[in-house]
Amino acid sequence: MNPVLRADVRYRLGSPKALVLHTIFLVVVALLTFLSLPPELGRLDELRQEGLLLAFLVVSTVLTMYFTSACACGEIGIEGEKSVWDLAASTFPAGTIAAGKVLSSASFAMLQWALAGPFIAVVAGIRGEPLAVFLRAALVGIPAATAIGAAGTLYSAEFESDFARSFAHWATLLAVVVGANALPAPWHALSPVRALAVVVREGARPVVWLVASAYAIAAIVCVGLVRRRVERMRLEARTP
Amino acid sequence: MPVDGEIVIEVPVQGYDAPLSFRRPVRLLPGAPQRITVDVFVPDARRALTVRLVASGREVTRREVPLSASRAVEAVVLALTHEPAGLEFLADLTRKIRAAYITEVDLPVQWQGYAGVQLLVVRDLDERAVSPAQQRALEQWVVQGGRLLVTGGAPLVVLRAPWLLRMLPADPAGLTEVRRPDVLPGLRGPISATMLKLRRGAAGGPMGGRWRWGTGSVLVWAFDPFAPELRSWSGRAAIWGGALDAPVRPWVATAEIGSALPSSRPLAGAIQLWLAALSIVYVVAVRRVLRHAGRVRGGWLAVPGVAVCFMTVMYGFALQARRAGTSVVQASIAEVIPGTGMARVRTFASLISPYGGAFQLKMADDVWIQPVEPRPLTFDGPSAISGNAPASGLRVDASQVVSMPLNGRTAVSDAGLRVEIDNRGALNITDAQIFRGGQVYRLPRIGATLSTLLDPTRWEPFGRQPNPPPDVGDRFMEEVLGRLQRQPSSPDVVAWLVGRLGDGQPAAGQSIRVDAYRLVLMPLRESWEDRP
Repeated sequence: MNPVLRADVRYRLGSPKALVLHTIFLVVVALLTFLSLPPELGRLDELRQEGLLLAFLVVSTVLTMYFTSACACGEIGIEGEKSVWDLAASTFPAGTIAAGKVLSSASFAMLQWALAGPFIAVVAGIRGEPLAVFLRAALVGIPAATAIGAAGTLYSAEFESDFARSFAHWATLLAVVVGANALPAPWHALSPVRALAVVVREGARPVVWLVASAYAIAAIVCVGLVRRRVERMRLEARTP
Repeated sequence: MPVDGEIVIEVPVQGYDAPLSFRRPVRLLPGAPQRITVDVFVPDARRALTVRLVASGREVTRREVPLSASRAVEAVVLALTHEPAGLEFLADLTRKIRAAYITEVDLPVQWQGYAGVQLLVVRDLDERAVSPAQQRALEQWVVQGGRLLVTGGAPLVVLRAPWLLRMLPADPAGLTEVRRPDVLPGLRGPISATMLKLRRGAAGGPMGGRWRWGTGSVLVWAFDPFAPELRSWSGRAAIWGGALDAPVRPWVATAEIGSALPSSRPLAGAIQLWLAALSIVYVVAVRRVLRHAGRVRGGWLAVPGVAVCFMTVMYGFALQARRAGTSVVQASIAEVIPGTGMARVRTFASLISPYGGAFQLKMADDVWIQPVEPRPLTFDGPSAISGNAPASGLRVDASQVVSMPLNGRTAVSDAGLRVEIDNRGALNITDAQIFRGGQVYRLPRIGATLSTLLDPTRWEPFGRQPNPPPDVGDRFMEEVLGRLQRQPSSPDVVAWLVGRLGDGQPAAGQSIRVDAYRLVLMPLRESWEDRP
């Protein structure tokens, strides 16, 4: 097992700060669940039934994306977790560091998606949707969060300044969630909001797989960029 | 080789992509023409409807039937005559009433088939060509407020249908020639006319009679308005106008009363509490597992394990909550038709399905259901509908005629009003009230009989409450009394009996929660009725 991944997962699961983070995530999702319960919400028009589930999935996905990328770029610091800069000084190969960091983001995204599962099940169940919608939506939610987490890892390696890192992180989040939504068809499907709408209304259509693949490719590209950056850091460190 | 399939008629519904479907199973024999009647209602007459034949899930044939708003009419005059002519002048009336010439085979087999019929004119009727179901449907329709006109002349003299002759306000007694028919001014005689002997209780004269039949109206004319000399008579529009507008007693339970039904219910507090408790337990469990996951090798596997367990439990809980949130509230108002042993029951039902989902609603076979608002539903028969329940609630309106051996009369004297009720039905009448002139008088529970002199000091003025009562039964009771208060007084109705059928508690359904409220309403006259 990748040692960087193993260490990060341990800290992101059980450190006190991680516990607070997961609790906040669960409380927000639980509150959203309760807010979507009143029958009157569905009475305005027929679209609201599936619309409420979609809205819930969108918020859960955006929250997962934010927490994953914030942890990856260092905006939320987890005790004990080593940054890319720290790891660059270690003996781990650059590829191991880059892959480990991006895989940490993927595992964190999967963890948060799994934690939100019971609440997604409540919203889906009460609105008469099958439980499979949880897995279908994961097809979009987890790759999107992984990709943005990988971008966060890249920013943590590229930018030394906290402000620049946060700025780049938020700009990327906005670009993916809001900006991609404004792209002309068919590119607007790159937005996780659009892709979730397709997956909820029409199922795992080819376009959804394409979007998930695009996010996965983006994450792999980030692995390569982080690896190069780590190698460059080491080169710079060796240069007198 | 017979083909088993179904006729599907699809009617477009404005604002929806899916149509309103009417399905009727059929067995077809190749080469053998077959007549199939499917009653449909068309909410939007500007678009075409589609008729499809489906067998073994495969569409065998389809045909588009174009409609146009200009062909839509307010009402229809059905004329049962072997000579389809004579009512062309109806097109000149200001109202959009059109004539439809029919033969015996076209007579509806259910009274609901007369929906939209303003007047049924019977001229040539071969009683052997009329089935018992058609007879029953015609009688039930008239009893419920239909207008029937039987025309005279030679066809009336040879009419041999006892069930129809019984309904006539006059007995035909041969044919005569009228030289100067005074009641038909401007008509040059002579004309051939039936001699009429008016029955007791009937109004009219030698050229025609009329009386009330249940809440409907039956007229008989001594002359044949389809005869050539009457077709060109200038006064025909006036006399037909009188027949078209023959007074019938309006029903108290009209469609608007259904708006008193609830269309939504909040999610039960207990369900919300349970869900909150489950959520808290889940968050605590997750925190506990996360805290210890890192200490044990492979401990992280417990995290998805806990999530999957709670997901299963909470999904099941949500399904139950959804089921508990779906219910039907229905209120039935039975309006007794005195002297018939029958009552017309109008049922207003509200399917409360705040979270949507598929539904099937089945009522008794002779019930005719209609959604209050047009929606893309499927009619598997006149009494069965299915489809996706709208989250905003689905309201349906159903009518049927049931046997109700309940009769009553009043006697007015100096001592007050005496009321006698004869209830031979199985159900008691509770919360019974006598309504008269804006006042109500509360009666004890009515079992088999009740005979009581009403104490003049115990009458209470009826007034609507500022807010509708929370109980649906009370709300409907108030609506009914409010409508009686607004109704113009009828000379033959002294008072009204209003009450609940049964013990007053809502009846519950089996598959989903059904709250059923049943009210009964009966006009009280001064004598027992020996005819409808």
